[in-house]
Amino acid sequence: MDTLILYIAVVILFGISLVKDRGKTKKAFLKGIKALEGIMPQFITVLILIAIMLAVFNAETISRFLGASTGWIGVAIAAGIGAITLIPGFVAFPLAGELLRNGAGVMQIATFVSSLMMVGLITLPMEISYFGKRTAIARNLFAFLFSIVAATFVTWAVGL
Amino acid sequence: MKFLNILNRYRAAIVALLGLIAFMFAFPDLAPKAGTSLADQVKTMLLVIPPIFLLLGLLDVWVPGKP
Repeated sequence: MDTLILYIAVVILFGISLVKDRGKTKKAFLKGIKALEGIMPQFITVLILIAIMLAVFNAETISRFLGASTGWIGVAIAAGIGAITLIPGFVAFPLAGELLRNGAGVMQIATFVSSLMMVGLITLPMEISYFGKRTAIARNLFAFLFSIVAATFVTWAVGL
Repeated sequence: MKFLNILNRYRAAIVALLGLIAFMFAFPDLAPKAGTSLADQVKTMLLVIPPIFLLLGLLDVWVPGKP
């Protein structure tokens, strides 16, 4: 259903664009296709790795470590994994959905996603070179704490 | 040369794929699960992602502001 809306939006917007400017529309189309091809290598790799991971860790294992009943320990594990790993957003969200379907808890997964997006231990050296040590470390630290706050909020919102 | 370039770009994906095949041979009992999981994900992604990138292309062309 959501997908259908997406396709309808594409058709309508491209239609409008085509009426307004043929050249620009063609350029937009080619840009989109090119960007799509650009992410493919990374994307396919991650999909395969997720498939292996989900085969190894069954729903039981996932819910044991990240399930709703794990509480704050599960949240801490999720925040830790999220802080270290480096996964692009377009892969992280489907992965999070898959984990949820396989027994992970909402709060744990929300923590995982937000610390994944905001905290980057691997990219920290690069961040330091841009923002300086103090700012970079403070930003990551606050982001780490905030990811848990955000997760609390998400859990509340999901429970509504 | 062009073929080699493509091969180089997809290097990691090819390694991962070989890893998956090795994994499926090593653990035949887990193979169907890995296979269906991958197929499911690929199906979903191929359906959802192309329109998003087309919309991004439109956004890029029509919304000014990038230096």
